[in-house]
Amino acid sequence: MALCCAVTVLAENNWHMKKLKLIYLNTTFYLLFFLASALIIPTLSVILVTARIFISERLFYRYFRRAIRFYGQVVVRLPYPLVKVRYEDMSNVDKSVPHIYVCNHNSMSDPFLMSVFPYEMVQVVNVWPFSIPIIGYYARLGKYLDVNNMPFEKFLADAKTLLDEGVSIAFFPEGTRIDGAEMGSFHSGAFRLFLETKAPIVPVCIYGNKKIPPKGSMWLHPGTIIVRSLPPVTWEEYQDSTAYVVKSNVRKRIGEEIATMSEGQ
Amino acid sequence: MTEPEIVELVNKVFENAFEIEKEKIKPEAHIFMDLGLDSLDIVDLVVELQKGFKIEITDNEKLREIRTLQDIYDFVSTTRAEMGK
Repeated sequence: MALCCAVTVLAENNWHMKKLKLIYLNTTFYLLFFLASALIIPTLSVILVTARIFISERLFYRYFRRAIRFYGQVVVRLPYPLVKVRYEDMSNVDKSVPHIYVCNHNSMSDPFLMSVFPYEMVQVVNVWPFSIPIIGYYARLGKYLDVNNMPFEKFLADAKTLLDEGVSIAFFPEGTRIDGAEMGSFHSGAFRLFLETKAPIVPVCIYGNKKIPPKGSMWLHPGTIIVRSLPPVTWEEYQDSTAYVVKSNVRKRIGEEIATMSEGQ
Repeated sequence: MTEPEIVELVNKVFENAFEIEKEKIKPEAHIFMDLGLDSLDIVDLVVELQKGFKIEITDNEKLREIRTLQDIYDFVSTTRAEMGK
């Protein structure tokens, strides 16, 4: 009887501890998030707008995207140590040339995780990131691409221009976040761009953030996120294939790697 | 060209150009939900069908109604008939 009571008390304590941890994580994260945003965004904006007077448009965008990366680095570190993020670069890519990054899409945190990549990069995002106050405005200013609200030909032309300028492009080809363990089907825009521009594709596997935060919620849960870049897919391998074949193979590679990552946890 | 020949050639397009496993290629297979094609892949599908059947596909309205492989068999058959083939 005494043992039974002790187990019940322990279980209740455990439940309370988890709840407290969750409240602590979210309170501190969102507090720091708003503080950091209120400090970083206006400061960098003033610096960049002033600098624009003296520097070329191209250089302005390079610094602007570097500022986005800096902001992303800060945001990704805010929930530490309850949320840890590990980047594993297995791609061995030539950083001096632009790439097309293709990632699975788990959570609202994915665009932040991708913004940390040490390259000049824009993201192809769905409608919702553009609707986030301030951040959405800056994403648009940084020439992030809203594939849903532009004709595909215009999207292709803009993406080609960015690659020509040496800017890498990150895609979430699932388009939307999927509930459950399965990856959604991929849209073929990234792969059509790959076949037309010959820019290599780097598959990126994001694992561990399905609940950071979960779909339809803003609550972050503690955990470890791994962002693993895989060796690139080159145009030479697929020059005679359709975009569908490229997307199926890239999706398969990401799926297999995520399965390996989940076994390792 | 007979109906079974049309079916065989369409299936070959899916096997070769899209590398879809034979087992998935069934008349009732939904090309978007079961085979994972999207609206952009339809461009490649049209090119391959035009090449394979030596036809010209211009009727976008009918194309938009395609959902299953059976719809494609019927579409090719009708287009060929309209072209007098």
